[in-house]
This record gives sequence, C-alpha cells and structure tokens, in this order.
Amino acid sequence: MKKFFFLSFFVLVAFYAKSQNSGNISGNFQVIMQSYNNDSIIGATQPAEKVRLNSYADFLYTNKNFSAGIRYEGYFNPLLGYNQKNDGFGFAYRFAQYKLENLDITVGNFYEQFGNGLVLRSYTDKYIGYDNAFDGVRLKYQPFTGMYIKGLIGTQRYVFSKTNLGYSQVINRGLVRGADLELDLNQAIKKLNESSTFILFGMNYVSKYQKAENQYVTINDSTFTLNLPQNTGAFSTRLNISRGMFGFSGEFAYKAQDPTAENNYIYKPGTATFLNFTFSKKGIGLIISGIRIDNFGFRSDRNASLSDLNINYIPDITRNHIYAFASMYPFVTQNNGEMGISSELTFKIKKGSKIGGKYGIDCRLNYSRIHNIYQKQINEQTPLNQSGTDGYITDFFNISKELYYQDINVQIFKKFSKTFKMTLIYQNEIFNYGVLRGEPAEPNVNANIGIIDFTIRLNKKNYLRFETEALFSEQDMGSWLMEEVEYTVSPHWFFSVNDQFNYKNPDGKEAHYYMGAFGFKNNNTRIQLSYGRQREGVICIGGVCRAVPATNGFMMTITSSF
Amino acid sequence: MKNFLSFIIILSSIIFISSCDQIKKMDNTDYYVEGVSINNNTQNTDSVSRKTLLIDFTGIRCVNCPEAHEIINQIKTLHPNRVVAIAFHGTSLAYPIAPYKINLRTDEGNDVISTFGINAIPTGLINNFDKTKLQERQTWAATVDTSLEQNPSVEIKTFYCYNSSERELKTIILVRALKNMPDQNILSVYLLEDSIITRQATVEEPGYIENYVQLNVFRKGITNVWGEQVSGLSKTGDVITKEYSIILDTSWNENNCKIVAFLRNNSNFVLNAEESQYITKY
Repeated sequence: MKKFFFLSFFVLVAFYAKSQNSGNISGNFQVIMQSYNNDSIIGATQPAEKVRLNSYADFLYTNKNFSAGIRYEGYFNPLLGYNQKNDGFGFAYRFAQYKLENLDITVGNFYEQFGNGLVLRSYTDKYIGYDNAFDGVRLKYQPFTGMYIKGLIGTQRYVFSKTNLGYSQVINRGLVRGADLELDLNQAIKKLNESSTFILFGMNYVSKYQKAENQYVTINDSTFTLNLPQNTGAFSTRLNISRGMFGFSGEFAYKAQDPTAENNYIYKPGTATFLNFTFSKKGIGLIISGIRIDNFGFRSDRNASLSDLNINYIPDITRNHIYAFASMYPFVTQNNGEMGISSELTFKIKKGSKIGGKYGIDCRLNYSRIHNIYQKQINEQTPLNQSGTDGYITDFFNISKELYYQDINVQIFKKFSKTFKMTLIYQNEIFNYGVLRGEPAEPNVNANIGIIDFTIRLNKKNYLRFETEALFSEQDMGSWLMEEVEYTVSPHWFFSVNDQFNYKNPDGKEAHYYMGAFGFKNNNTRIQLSYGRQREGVICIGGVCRAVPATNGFMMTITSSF
Repeated sequence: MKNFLSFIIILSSIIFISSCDQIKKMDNTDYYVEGVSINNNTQNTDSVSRKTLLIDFTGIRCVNCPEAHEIINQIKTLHPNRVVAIAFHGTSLAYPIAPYKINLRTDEGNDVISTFGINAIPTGLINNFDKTKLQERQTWAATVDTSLEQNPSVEIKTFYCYNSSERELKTIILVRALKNMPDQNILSVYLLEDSIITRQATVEEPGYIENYVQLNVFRKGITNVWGEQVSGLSKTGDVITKEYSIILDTSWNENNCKIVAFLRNNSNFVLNAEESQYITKY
C-alpha cells in the first residue's frame, strides 16, 4: 500500500511537472532474456521454465532542488546464476530528495558510502546482482565550507522480502545508524586555500541493531545459548594527503564484538586497514596498495551470508581483468581475514625512440599477493574459531603462510599505424581454490595466461578485431585456448564469433564453448543477441562475486535510455 | 548560530548512534554464553505434541552440508521427539562424481528441487512446503524454537506392517482434527533411510569424510512426493485414515527405514508431522 501511494505520488508529480513545463524526467530500461538447453558435455541443465528474464527500469525526475525516482525490477524467474530468492517483481527502489542551501534530505531508498567503504557502503551492480540499498532517512549537512556531515538511519534491501522480517524470516531485519564527518582543510582554512598540499580528514561511526535470537553452541557435550550483542558499533578514521606528484590515503577501522554466521559466531573485535600510495608524472605512474582485514565482515543481519545485507565493503586491491581467461580466477575478498599488497607501474616508451617507434608503447606491470592473517588458538584446548569464544589470537604485523592469491601480469599496448594496433598480455596466477571457491579438497590453481589482441581499421566505419587467448594449467579444468573475431560497422552494428576450447582437463573431458553474437545500436538503444555455451565460473566486480552455472542457449539483451 | 546548529547535530548523532553492547565472558571460561546448560529441556507433556518438520536440501559433494546436519542433530537433541527431519539429496552437488560413488538423488527429490528453483545448498524448509520460505541453516534453530510454541491443529499417527520376505511395507496413517479448520488439506507420506555410509565433502581438512553417516535420506514417496489431497477434517474430532503399500528396493537397508507423514494446508503450511520407528521394529 505504501509503495502504491509512493508510486501514485511520483506519477502525479511527474504529470504535474510536465503540464507546467518544468522539471526533467530521465530514465533507462534493461532486459536480459536467456533460453536454456540441456547440454551434458558442459553440465548445463534446463530449468522447468526453459526461458528466464531479468528486467530493470529506472525513472528519475528532477526539478530545481527536488528530485524523486523509482526503479522497477522484474524477475521472471531470475536468470540462473543470480540469487534465486530474488524471485519477484515490483518497485524495488523509490526515493525523494530535497536540497536546501547547505542541507540535503533524502527519504526512501538511497545508496551511500563513508570513505573507502570499510565501515559503510551501499551500492548496486546489476551485473553481479548486488543491491544493498538503504530504506530510511539520510541528511547531509554542510555547516561551513570544507566540512561535510552525513547522518543516516534505515534498514537494508534483502531480495523482494515483503515483510520487515530479515534474512532469517524469524526476527526483524537489522537497523543501521551511522554518521560521517569529512573535513577538507584546504577549503576550510583560508590560509591553506592556495596551498599545493591537499589534506582531507574524515571519520565515521556506524551502529547496527538486531534483536538477539537463540543460537546454540555445544561445549563438552552440553548445549548453551550464545549471549548475543544486539547493538554492534564500528568506526573508522581516514586521511588523504597529496602534494605534487605524490599522494597518500589511508583508512583504519575498528568493529566491536559481532558474532555472526560468517565468522562462526566468534566475539573477537575486528579491524581493517587500507593504505594507498600513488606517484605520477608525465609518462610514468605508480600505485602501491596494502590491506589487512581481521574479522571485518559487517552485515545488518547476523545470519546473512554470500553477498547479502553487507553494510560495509572490503576494497579489492587486486587488478580486475576484463579478458576472458585473465578473469577466469578472480580474487574474492575475504571478510574473515586477508593481508596483502598490490603494486602497479605504468610507463610509456617515448614516441620516436628506437623501441617506441612512431607512436610509442604503453606498458603496465602489475603484481598482487594476498595471504591469510596469522591466527593462533586462544588456548590449547579450544580449536581455532570456536563459536562463542574470541576465536583466535592474531598479530598485526605477522602474516600467515597460507597464500590466497597471487597475480603477476604485464600488458603492452602498441599502435603500429593509424589502422593497426595491438595489445599483448602475459599473466601468471596462483589461486587458492580451496578458500576462494569454498572447496578445501581442491588444490591451488597455477595458471599461465597469454593474450594477443589486434584491431585493424579497414576504413572509416569498419573495424576488425582478432583476439587469441591461451591459459595453461594442470589444475581445475586444465588448459584453455580461445579465438575470437569481431567485426564492427560503426556506429550501428557488430558481429562476433568465438570458441573457447577446454583441453587437458583432469577429468579427461574436452569441450568447445562456442559463442556467436551480434548487436545493433541506434541512438540510446542497444540490442544484442547471442547464442552458444557459457562456461561454469565466477564473475567478480571489486571482489564481490556471483557463481555462474554452465549454460547453453540464446541470450538477448536490450538496453535503452532517455 | 550555524556553528551551534552543527554542534547540536553532531552531538545528537553521537548520542544516537553510539549504542554498542559489550558482552562479558562467563566466569572462569573463554565463552560468551548464558550460564545454564539447556540439555535437560523437559518434553512437552501434552497428550498430543506439535512436531516440527525440517526439510534439509543437501548433497554429498556440498562442503557446508555437514554443518547443516550438525545443526539438525543439535536441534533434535534439544527437542527430543519434537522434530521430524527429511533430507532431500539434490542439485549438482549431490551428483556422484568419482571418488564420490553413492547416488542418494531420486527422481522425486529432483522434481521438488527443480520446482523450488534450488541451486544452492544447504538450504531448508521448516513447517512449510513452499519455495518462498527456504531458509539458511543459521536460522533453523530459532525458527524451530518459535514453531514449537504453536498448538497442534491435527494429530497424526503412523501404523505399519512389514513383510521382510516380500519386502512389502503396508502402512496406515491416521489423522485427527484437534480444531475446526478448512476441509481441504494435503497429506504426504515418505519412506526415509538412516545410517547410509557415503563419502561426504566438508569444509574441514582434508575436504571430505570417507565414512560419513547420512541420516533421514528421502528414498521414496509412499504418497506422491507432492502429497495427496485429503478431506474430512473440518471439525474438531474428525478422523481420517489412509492406507498404502509399497515394495522396498533391495538396495535399501530395511532395518534403517522409517515412515514420515505430514499434513499441510492449502497455503503449504505444515500443520503437524510424525515419524515412525524403524519398520522392522514393532
């Protein structure tokens, strides 16, 4: 009823605005439809419906200081590989926002991020089916130039759950309250206005409340109930400093006792540290990032798992690859504990030099390595991570020998002439399959990957692209080869065919994953149709992932905006 | 004035959000638990007890499933004779790929799993037979606690007679209404087997348990797996009986087989459930 009221209000406002010739309405629409066939070679199974569809439409109305929006989502039923509980349709997101001189009020749904998101970040990503929007009230206030205060209260979205019951369907979903303060010293202090050193300081505090329910633990053959905290607080402080070619940003976060399903109901407080150094000058750039996460999953429902009801976000410091095989084994951020470093050097070999040739060469070297944190039993009798205890003892500077992920990659981008350019990539990855895919019996995957990508411009409108990828590994599904040809008639059409060939599979199976696609784009509308096999795997964006089952069938995507 | 306003906003936000509980350890231990052991829960002494049906969707190659089984064991220990569990083995994680050899999947179980759209296990249903009510294992204990507080609206009794030479199982299910209710309900009767030894994947090193004991394994629907429409239970005291007969497959161990029956209403809410002893015992 509430939703209906809101919708009617939105429609009325929109019509009124149109009749008054004021305000602006924009929006977008997306539909993804897939058909499924049985395919025993790749393990694809056909669901009962045979065809499934996800659809989204956003509408935004703005008029001077006022804006309001709604988003429709419909899953008929959810595509395989998306959260199957998100099985519904309706207006999943609606908000109204008003801005005064230095006050900004939002009611309804909103997305928000404090700092790097270590303590609070809500966002949506349709590609990985992620949405942890708040439903509540948010105030942003600027008391004077350079100081920004945000405060919010609300619950978080969990699929299409119509009741206020949360993840467990037994107790109400958790309530999140938070405030963030940011001070830009260069704006706030007149003397620093002209300074070439930029300093930004921020701090925030977030607390969640959820009623405690019965949770049992067995100790020496007797069963006890856990004494669960109903309020859990977390805070963080952050600092960004930059001067000339150098930049530094760092954030440290602390979380009080928070026994959850994710950490096996241990009571140890959590910490998170994220550091980032940058250096850049013409022709060269360097980024070094470090992260240490110690029991820092933070969710508004203590029983939630996977990517449900996260209040915070653990940044992924590893490189997000786009090529098919480079992204086959992506790192998955580990809320319970990880410690790692990543560095990336980019430089340009000058135009006109011997190696650089007429156009120069762009190079990128990237390295990242992530381990578990050091963990020691709290005493000799209690096993690690025993429910109802502090779980483990750790040491901030001590790293575990357990390697989670390592990625070394080199990319070279070379333009030979106005009509011909090439990208070359070499990558070596070590992937802890047991931890990152949750199957401890599986060995680590060690993969070597090579990629060559040529683009040839035939004339003003026609482009031809060839891509060859190879992945060599003895673990998981073994080795792969891929060939892709793509032909683009700018600006409307593209056609592509590719084949991913899986061989030396330890199971002894070999399979071709062929795929053909074409797309059409006109103004703001794009239609893409593809047919073929999709391999089983995991898709990650920023360390947040969803598992994709093997499928065989047609897929159609339509996107449009106005 | 402006600065004063911001001061008030900051102060009130700090007071508002600085709520954080600090739980203390139980004396002389490392545990943050309530001091009372609750193993000696007295059983419900009412003549007819409300039993809770817990359906577990599970698989031999599913690493988190042993944890779900452990939760079921804990719940059953806490509430003796009050919880009826059924384990449907299904999804690709129940498919035996070497070195996993034993197939516990059934066509009927696969039908339920695909109709319910389950592709991630373990997951479960408590007192419901409805895909929108699927629940993660972490929430089972609390849901069972709540559901056991309800008063039963029907009583179910199972009677059986097993002829071991013919491997024929005859069963009679008696259902009695304890309150007035809508006349149309659905009765499901299944045959389950306990103590099947298989290899089972687990999160613990080395990633599997070679001789794992599987309990409550769904073997066959004595009624259709989706149940059978029954009527005649509209008034308090109404009784219906249903009679069935099946032949046990030779690969099932008759000494570990039992009968489970549950009645659900047209909203797929389970009104009560019952399980028999092992069919070779009388």
